[in-house]
Amino acid sequence: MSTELAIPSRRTMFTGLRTAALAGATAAAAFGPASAQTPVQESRARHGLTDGDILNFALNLEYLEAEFYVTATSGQGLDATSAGASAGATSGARLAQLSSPIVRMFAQNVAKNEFDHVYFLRSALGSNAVPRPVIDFKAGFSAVGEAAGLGSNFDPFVSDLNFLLASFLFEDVGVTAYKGAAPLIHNKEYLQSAAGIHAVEAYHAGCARALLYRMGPEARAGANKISALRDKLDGPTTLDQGIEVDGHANIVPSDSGGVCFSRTPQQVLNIVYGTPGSGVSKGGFFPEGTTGKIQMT
Amino acid sequence: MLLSGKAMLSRRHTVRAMSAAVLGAGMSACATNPVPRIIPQGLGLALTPEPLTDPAVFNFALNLEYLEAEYYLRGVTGEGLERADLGPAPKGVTGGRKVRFQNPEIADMMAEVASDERSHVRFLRRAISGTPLVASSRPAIDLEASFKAAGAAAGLGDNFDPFADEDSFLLGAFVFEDVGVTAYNGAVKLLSQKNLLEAAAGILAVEAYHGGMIRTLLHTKGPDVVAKADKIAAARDSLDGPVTTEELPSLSLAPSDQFSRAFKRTPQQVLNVVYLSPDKGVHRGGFFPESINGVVRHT
Repeated sequence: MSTELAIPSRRTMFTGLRTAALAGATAAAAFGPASAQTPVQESRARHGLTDGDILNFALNLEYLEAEFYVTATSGQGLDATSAGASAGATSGARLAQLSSPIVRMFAQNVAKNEFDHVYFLRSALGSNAVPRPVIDFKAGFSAVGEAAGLGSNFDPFVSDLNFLLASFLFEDVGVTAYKGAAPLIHNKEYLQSAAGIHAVEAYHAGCARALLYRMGPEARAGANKISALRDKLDGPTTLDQGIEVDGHANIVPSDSGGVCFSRTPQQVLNIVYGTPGSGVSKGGFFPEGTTGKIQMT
Repeated sequence: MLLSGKAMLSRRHTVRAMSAAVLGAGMSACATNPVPRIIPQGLGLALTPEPLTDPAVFNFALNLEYLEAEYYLRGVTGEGLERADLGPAPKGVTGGRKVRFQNPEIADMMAEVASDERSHVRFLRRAISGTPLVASSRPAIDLEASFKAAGAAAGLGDNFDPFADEDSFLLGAFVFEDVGVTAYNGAVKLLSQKNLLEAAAGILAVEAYHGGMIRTLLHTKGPDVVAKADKIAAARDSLDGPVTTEELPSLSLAPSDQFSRAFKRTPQQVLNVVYLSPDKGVHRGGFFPESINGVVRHT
């Protein structure tokens, strides 16, 4: 009956109101004169960051994802060779109880992909690759669960739903992190690889969001709470969208131009540390902080 | 409902106008830069020797977005893009009609994709219009004979009609989505400006979200539908030359190479797929019976 309205009515609730700020700030900076640097590029220059530093930051996120998915699907985490010399300990993950065939396939696929990403980045970085940081899934998920309103005993390893919610937590962040990092990378080969990894994270996120949406009201509400938390942790700019908006599916988080969001490394750290604001160097999933040069929000 | 939807839509127009206009200004600055871009060797651009500027890359992408937008909009609403989105000399669209979706959730997701693809058309048109280059008008698009030919090539029979029902529409969507991902991924190295690169990466990701969504939905339809999608992926892979550019949907929800990086296609390989021709030097066919618009037109 209102099918002709199906197209115009969606996503506008989010983008109309909230991307005004984005368009005014981020987009104006990013799309300014060719000679102008974005704030992130200026930050990179100021801190003397190299491509290696950027890739090592991405490696920390891949360690986190790989440990989560590999353990959830096999009961064991990364082997010593994949974690690097003097790697930090990982705790709080275990084999996940997954029942639906498509969720199991998703978990297996993503575990392989994230493991490959660790392997690829470590290979690309060679002797400059940072080791795995200390990772605490129990503390991380407990903090997220409590802050998002899912309960401090939120356990991603007990059901399809919780596993997908945890996956949802990570994947969109990966997408925005790689997009934010893309303009910082000078070497064209690294850039090409980062874009390819960026897209794979988006495939994962599209799968997780579609699966959660199909699971119904409880799953949609849970995902929307996590989305709201991420958006709160990373500062005032709107960089996140839930999977149901104004009663409609919102599988793709994007701005008014149909373009995905970017997060700076600092905004990404705000989320994985579970702490808003600047000057934070550890917390949440990384109780001793990330390894490498990019450690502080 | 109607009022709030329209009010929000117009608000959204304003925001888009802002960001894309500034983007256009950025590209304009690039276009006056005297340093020409050199085409890397091995891209097979022999028939189009002009340097591929950043706006030209966006114009190439615009053709693909027209195709996707027309497919989804027609399937979801029965109507295509509005006149204002088509450029000064648009060509026609053959085929495409409103699909009778059985599952309202799937209908809703397809409407979201339609909205995204339309946003991409508008975003790219705006961005290009800020440069000396003219944003390409919509080329002639075929959504009927093309799908029949694609279906036959993939082994789905001689009468594949993606608008016949929900499952078919998902399979038709699957023909496009991964191609969009590989096209934008292949454009990454062609873009010289960081701000455009970031925008392209953002569209790349949206296409990949769509790709993940479509693969997931195909799996919810059962093994027979997934087997058909496998055939489509195999057909795409055989059209674009010997290099592997596909991972079958039955095996993967995130098609990627040995390091789990998304595949990429050159503009020529993309054209091989949408022209439905494996040959070199072809400038039309398949979904674009009269060619695409812009400097890159040949396989």
